Amino acid sequence: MLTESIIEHLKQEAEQEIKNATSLSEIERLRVAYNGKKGKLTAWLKELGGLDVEARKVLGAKLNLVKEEITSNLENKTLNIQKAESSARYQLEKIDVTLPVKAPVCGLEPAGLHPVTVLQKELENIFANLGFTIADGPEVESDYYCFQALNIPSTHPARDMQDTFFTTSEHVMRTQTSAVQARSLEKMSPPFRIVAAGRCFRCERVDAFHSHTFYQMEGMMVDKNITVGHLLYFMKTLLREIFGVEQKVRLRPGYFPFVEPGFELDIWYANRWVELLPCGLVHPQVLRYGGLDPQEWQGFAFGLGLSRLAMSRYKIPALRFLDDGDVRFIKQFPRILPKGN
Amino acid sequence: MKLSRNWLEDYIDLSSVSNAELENWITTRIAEVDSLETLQEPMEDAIVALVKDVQALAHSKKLFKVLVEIGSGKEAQVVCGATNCRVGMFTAYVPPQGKILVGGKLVEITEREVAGVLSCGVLVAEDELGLTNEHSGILDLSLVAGGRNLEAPAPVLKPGDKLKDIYGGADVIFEIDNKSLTHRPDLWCHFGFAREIAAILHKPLKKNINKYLDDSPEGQLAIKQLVGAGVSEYQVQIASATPCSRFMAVEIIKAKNEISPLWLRRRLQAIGAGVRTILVDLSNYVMHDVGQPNHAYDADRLVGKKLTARMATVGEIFKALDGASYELSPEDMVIADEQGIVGLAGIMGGERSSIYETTNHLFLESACFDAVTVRLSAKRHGIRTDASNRFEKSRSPFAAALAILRFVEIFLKLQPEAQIVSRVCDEFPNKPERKRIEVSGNYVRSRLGVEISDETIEQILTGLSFKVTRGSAAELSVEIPCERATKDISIADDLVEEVGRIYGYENIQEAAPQILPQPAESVKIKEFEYLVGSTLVARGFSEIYNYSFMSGSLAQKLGYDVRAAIKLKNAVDETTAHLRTSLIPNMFSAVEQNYKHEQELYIFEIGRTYEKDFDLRHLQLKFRDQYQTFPTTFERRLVCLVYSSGRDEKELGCLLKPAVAQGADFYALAATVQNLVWLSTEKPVCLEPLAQGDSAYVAWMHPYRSARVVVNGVDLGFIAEARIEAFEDVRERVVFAELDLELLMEVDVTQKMTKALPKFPDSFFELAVIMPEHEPYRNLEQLFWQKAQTKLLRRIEPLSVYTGQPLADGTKSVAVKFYFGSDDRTLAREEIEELQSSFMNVVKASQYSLR
Repeated sequence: MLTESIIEHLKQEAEQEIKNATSLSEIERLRVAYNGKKGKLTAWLKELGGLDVEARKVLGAKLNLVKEEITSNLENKTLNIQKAESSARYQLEKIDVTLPVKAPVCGLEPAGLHPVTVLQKELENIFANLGFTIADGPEVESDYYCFQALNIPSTHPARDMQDTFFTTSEHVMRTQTSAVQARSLEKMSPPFRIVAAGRCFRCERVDAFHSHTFYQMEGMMVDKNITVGHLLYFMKTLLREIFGVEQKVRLRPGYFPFVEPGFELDIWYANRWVELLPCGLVHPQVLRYGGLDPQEWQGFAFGLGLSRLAMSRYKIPALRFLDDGDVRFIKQFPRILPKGN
Repeated sequence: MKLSRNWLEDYIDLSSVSNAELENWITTRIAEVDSLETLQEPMEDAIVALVKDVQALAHSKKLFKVLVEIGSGKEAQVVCGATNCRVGMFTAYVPPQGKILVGGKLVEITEREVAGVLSCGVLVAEDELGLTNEHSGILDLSLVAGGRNLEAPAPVLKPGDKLKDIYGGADVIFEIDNKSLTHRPDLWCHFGFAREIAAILHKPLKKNINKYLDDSPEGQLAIKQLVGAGVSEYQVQIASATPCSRFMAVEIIKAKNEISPLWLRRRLQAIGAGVRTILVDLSNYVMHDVGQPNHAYDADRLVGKKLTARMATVGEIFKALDGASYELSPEDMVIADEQGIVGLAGIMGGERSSIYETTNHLFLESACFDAVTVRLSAKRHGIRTDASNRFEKSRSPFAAALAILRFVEIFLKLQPEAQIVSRVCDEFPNKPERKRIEVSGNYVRSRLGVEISDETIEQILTGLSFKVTRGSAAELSVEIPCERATKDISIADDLVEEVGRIYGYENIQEAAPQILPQPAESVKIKEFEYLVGSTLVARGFSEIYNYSFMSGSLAQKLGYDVRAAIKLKNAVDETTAHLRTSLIPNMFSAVEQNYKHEQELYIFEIGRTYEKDFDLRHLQLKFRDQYQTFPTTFERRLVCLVYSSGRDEKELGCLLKPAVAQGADFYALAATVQNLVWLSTEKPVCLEPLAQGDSAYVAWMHPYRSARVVVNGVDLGFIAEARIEAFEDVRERVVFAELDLELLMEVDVTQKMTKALPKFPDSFFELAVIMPEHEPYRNLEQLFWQKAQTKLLRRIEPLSVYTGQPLADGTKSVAVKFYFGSDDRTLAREEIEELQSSFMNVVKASQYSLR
């Protein structure tokens, strides 16, 4: 006959046994012994049916409470034992990290560099051969270098939250490598030529066709008496180096606040004009922000979209391959960098 | 934006210019053409027909038997269901074998029996001819006002006449890339493009509406001459501190809001604009014609007789004509009458005062609203319209007159009985000054790099409506047309562009500049990154890129404290919430992803992390300044490596030297890290155990297989095997390493001199030492370096580590090889033996023992 003292006893007995358990198998044995089909608790629960209504109500509630307590005790103990066991297992795995070990491994796997790295290095080599300095700048950029010093007014849509990532440190994720133009103008003494490649960001969700991360290369030349003809010379030289033969190109009007005049450079490819890169003569205001007198110094600048160029260069079917880190994709790419300068 | 070729031909004769040529001119000299589309020309087969007889069909309640006259005395019998078909009406007929448009496709008409009656050809609705989307009944030519355009006289309809001769043939639509027009408020209309094309082709404009810009005496006169019946009681007003530079409006009475003429509807439809009735259509048409947005109010629905441009008050509600209600703020500019808001300025009109079917009394507004106010307001409320799009480009207040003049001109021609009521309201408090730029021909030539005469320069600028006067011999004084002066053209370089593009950039030859040869100082760390990358590829590691952002929940789960991380204010989702503070979290995801299809994994990433606080050690670096002048946040350049052989530890451990029973993947990656360090210094890597509680220890790390990487006393990063429970699905051992590349590059800056090779061979001997199993090997090495009293010791190398029988539990035997040498002699055997016994004594005197 079920009584309160039986329940109380059951509870204490279970508590003690669970406390004493030291292994997962013991815990499992206890679970079966109490909560299993033929367990002690289960047996008492079945007997509830034979009691009168009042007793069933009172004792049933108590018994169920105990059942819950036991279940939760078992679970906690299981976690504790697992933790201790894993800790013990990790201890058994202890190694002597100070031991200098040589690993004569070669050719583990065919490996590759990311296609953007390969392309970037190739382009940098071309420009280095033409006397350009390889420059660099931060990816978290100040509003000043990313926009203001590039003659992009504070009311320009590019400075909206919907286009540009803003950080809690009151900066922006650079939207263009052009920010390096502004930095180079301040830092370098003219005449100079630079290229700067790297990551850029826009406020966008990632899907099959879009990404918030893309790669650009910026170029800039500052000297005296720079003309559109000079810009054209460097662009055609660049394309000849990339493609191995002379390329047919055209300039057409394009608008970018930091160049004037501004162009889109198209390349004749597969029987049609394909938009390749924006460029132009450096806007006098940008030179002034950089502390140069536009009467004395002029320049040209251009931007190359590396993601797109890499895609056409290596026939990459979708943008996401550049980003999703699939090693099977990377292994297809040249295992050595293009020849250096 | 879409341009209709037929529409452009209102302004310029293009008869000798092919579509491809026109596309090329526009793209290379004005703006990018996205696409070129020739509209269907089903009108080829349609002819005018006169309805002679209409009879109900016996077997059908909906169909009629219709007899039409189709020219040359011929008649045709057609079965038709249109309810507007009546005797005496002129309609359009397409004979058998002719084609009509059904559901966007051309379908050939056949002679066939319908409801027992022979039907020979069809009577068609406007949509079946590709004219408009109208399909409410067959075309009623007697109701369609006008001919092929505004100027054409109303046609005299005769059965058998071809419709295309009356209404003009197929149109060609040029779609312009809007992004290439953001700086050109003057190009958002047909006239704007026509003006440029005329300048390019050296052709005169058929009709020059520049004169309607009232920044000239001519334009001012045109507005003054706009007088009509009586004196209007309507007024406009600009409230103080309202960014509305001009507010014009005119009252028009006795208007009829009927269906628009076919030519007008065709044009609107061709450029993708909706078609309603004339009062709405014309307002729209004028905007696409001359670029100036305008709004027609039903004057009878305005309360009071005054419209005010003002800022909204907090929480003011605006019910727009799209049916939606918007809650406004004092940042929104509105047009209001005595009762309340009737328009969100420059964006959309209100519902109450909009044009109804019965409207016959108009108040037509044409104003100039501030670009930024309109853009932000449209963005805030999510309503971008053709009007807001144009105002966002900074319009000239002088262009406001264009819409008034053009609307009235066309409307009075279409409805001669309508009248304007004098005079035009015009609030224009601050007329902008006319802008001039001085530029010399030499300046233009020196920028473009091309020989182009002053005469050509002058001719090009004049063609684009600039007014050029010759100042001193070399200078041109150029007055900017008002529509270009708002922001597009402000300096001489802007004029260089104008001349260059119309002259044709293809006429500029490439030219190599004369340059001063000077060494190019490149950023050292980038070179170093390539060196690290190619070294790793040669060792079988593949390079992947991960994002610069990290998921806070993932980083936290791995044990990183993300509270200190810089966050994005406008993250697009959880994965972009934080700027990464370590390359590890994203690398975990990459490992999980790749292990879905790989059996082993060797990958690396070279990338940056972003922190608020500077690592002060970096300030000492010599090359840091090369790219980190004026820093924003601290960007650390790191390499992250992953080594996971997927193999049994013992099996792989046997291949290592010395062989190890456990932790083979860890040691293999440690060897790779040593390789990288050798790119910078010959000094050895010191791995120091990294245990729970250490500041560099992170929860994901195996507590007994993690180490700090220290070289030359500099902490470069760590190597650590991951706890198995740190992964979701991966069950292999995965070892990670993360190293600071800038610290690594400059870890040893001592200038090293090349040493001559030793003249005398080294000698060596080996010892086996028994030591506690968990005693680090390094302690043993240190013991010899410290206690051995000799300068001849060159190097110590572990050969093997052994545990098990017959060694006591908890001990290991380490076999070590000692290398000795001298610069002035080969060591004698006695010397070696002496050294050996002294080394044995060192062991005996220590807590270890010899085996």
